[in-house]
Amino acid sequence: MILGPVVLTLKLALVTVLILLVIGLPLAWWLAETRSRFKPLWESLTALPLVLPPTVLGFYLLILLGQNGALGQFWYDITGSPLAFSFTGLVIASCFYSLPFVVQPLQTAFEKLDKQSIEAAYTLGASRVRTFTLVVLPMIRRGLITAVVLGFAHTVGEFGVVLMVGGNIPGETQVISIAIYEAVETMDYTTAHWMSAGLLFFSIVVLFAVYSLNKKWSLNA
Amino acid sequence: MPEFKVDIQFERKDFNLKTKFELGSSGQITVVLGSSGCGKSTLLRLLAGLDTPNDGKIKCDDESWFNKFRKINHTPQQRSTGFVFQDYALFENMTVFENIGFGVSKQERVNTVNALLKKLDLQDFRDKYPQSLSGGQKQRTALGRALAIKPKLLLLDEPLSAIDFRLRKQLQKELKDFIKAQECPVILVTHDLQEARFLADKIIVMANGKISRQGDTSSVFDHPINKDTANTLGWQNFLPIESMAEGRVKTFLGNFILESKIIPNAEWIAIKPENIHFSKIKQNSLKASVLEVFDMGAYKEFHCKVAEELTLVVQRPIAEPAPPVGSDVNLHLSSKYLRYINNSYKLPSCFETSLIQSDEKSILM
Repeated sequence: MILGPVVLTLKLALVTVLILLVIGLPLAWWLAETRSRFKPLWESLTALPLVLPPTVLGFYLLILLGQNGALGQFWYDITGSPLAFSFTGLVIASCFYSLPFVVQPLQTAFEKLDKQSIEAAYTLGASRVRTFTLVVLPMIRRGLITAVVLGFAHTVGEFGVVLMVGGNIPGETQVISIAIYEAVETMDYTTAHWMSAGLLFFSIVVLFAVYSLNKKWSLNA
Repeated sequence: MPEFKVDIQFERKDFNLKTKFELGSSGQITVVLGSSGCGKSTLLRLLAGLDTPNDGKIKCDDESWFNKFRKINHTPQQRSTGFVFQDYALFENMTVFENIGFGVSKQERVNTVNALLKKLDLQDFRDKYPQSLSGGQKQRTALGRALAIKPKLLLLDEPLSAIDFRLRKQLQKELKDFIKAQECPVILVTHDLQEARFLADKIIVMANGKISRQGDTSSVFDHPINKDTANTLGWQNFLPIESMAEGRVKTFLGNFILESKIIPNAEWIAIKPENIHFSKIKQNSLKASVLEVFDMGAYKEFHCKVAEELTLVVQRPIAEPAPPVGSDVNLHLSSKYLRYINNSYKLPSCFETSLIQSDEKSILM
């Protein structure tokens, strides 16, 4: 009863963070570098999930991912299965929901980056890829760790969006937060206690790890 | 031995750069001198390929690095210039060894880096990270990193500006000896007059994004020719010319005799603050009153009013008797140190032949 939602939650968070890194790194770099007049607009759109009630975000995502929605229909046409109320749908929703938590720390890190080190690497003959892995990544490591941890933790804790888009299907979309809600609804307080305490403990550990790493690295820098 | 030909234009919203020059033989230090914002750092970035000129050519031997017409623009990676940045831009996550070896292939890394560590006296610091190094050690690491790739051109952007004043003199000497032994031409950018004079074989003076004067160091310092160059080189005193004939110049303050060669379109006669004396000599002299006196340590600086709208700056050694503020003085402007100054960046032909040796004759705008 407990293990299923835990495994599903961790899987969801892991997949979401990996996808968000692939999207978030270039997006954050672009946001940090762009001189576009519309930069505030792009920043607002990225930050939107921070202020929007999860139900609102969830509602629009449900429309988009549902069988009559653009994305849902497209997905149904190529795979033959629906997106709404599926694990894949949940991953897409989580990516929207957790986007600012990954992009914002990365953007801050890129903005603080010493650009001359990158230029120095170029003059020394290093390709863009070599420069990114050997020079840029180590310099943004604090932002990167913060992005990964916050993105992961935030996905673990989501409730509203999951309920709207994923529903409550054990093994498919029933994550911990939903399982707790159901346990309370069915008066199964023991299960609710175990899972709530677990989530509480997990959150403390994660935040403690982030703050400790930040302190350690700021002392070294 | 690569030979460089540069002729580029660079335009931005509120900045324009237009330069044309050639670089001579190995180990020759060309110093680009100018006040901040005149475009000297931009020039280095354009040469390294970090910025792109709007027009022109950069040629290294027969290889074109940039050619607007032929649409050639080599990346910084293809150019192989050793660039020492003003604040060094060392890789903070790498040791001194790793920093210097960054641009070297794996097979050659150990040998190349060890040789440079020895040359630069950094052996004891090979495993240290940049944050634990002193300014001088950082500078040597940055220099080593740039030289490790065996650059075709070495570019140094104010390499000593971040160094403590006391150490700077010694490091200037070390830097000069070290660079002289290299097999590539060197361009060093600075705003420091003494540093430029000490390090330069050839000097390029920049003002407002243009080369106002270039050539052999002593000839440029002794004969700035135009007003922008004179200003940059610390000539602070200018007297407007009313008329002139055979070494005799008439100004609104009286007549002066000059030993210097006459240049076309001369508008001023100029003299450096240290070449004006307090003296009773009548010839080439001016009556003045002392407005202000500044104690500069090794010398005193006097601001002396010679006319309603003209103040001359005089610098005298601290050991000489100093006239007090408000006193009337007689200023002697020695004919030997007076120069004609015009507004043109064109070098008069009499200076091209006599003062600059033919093999490093400069191209002018």
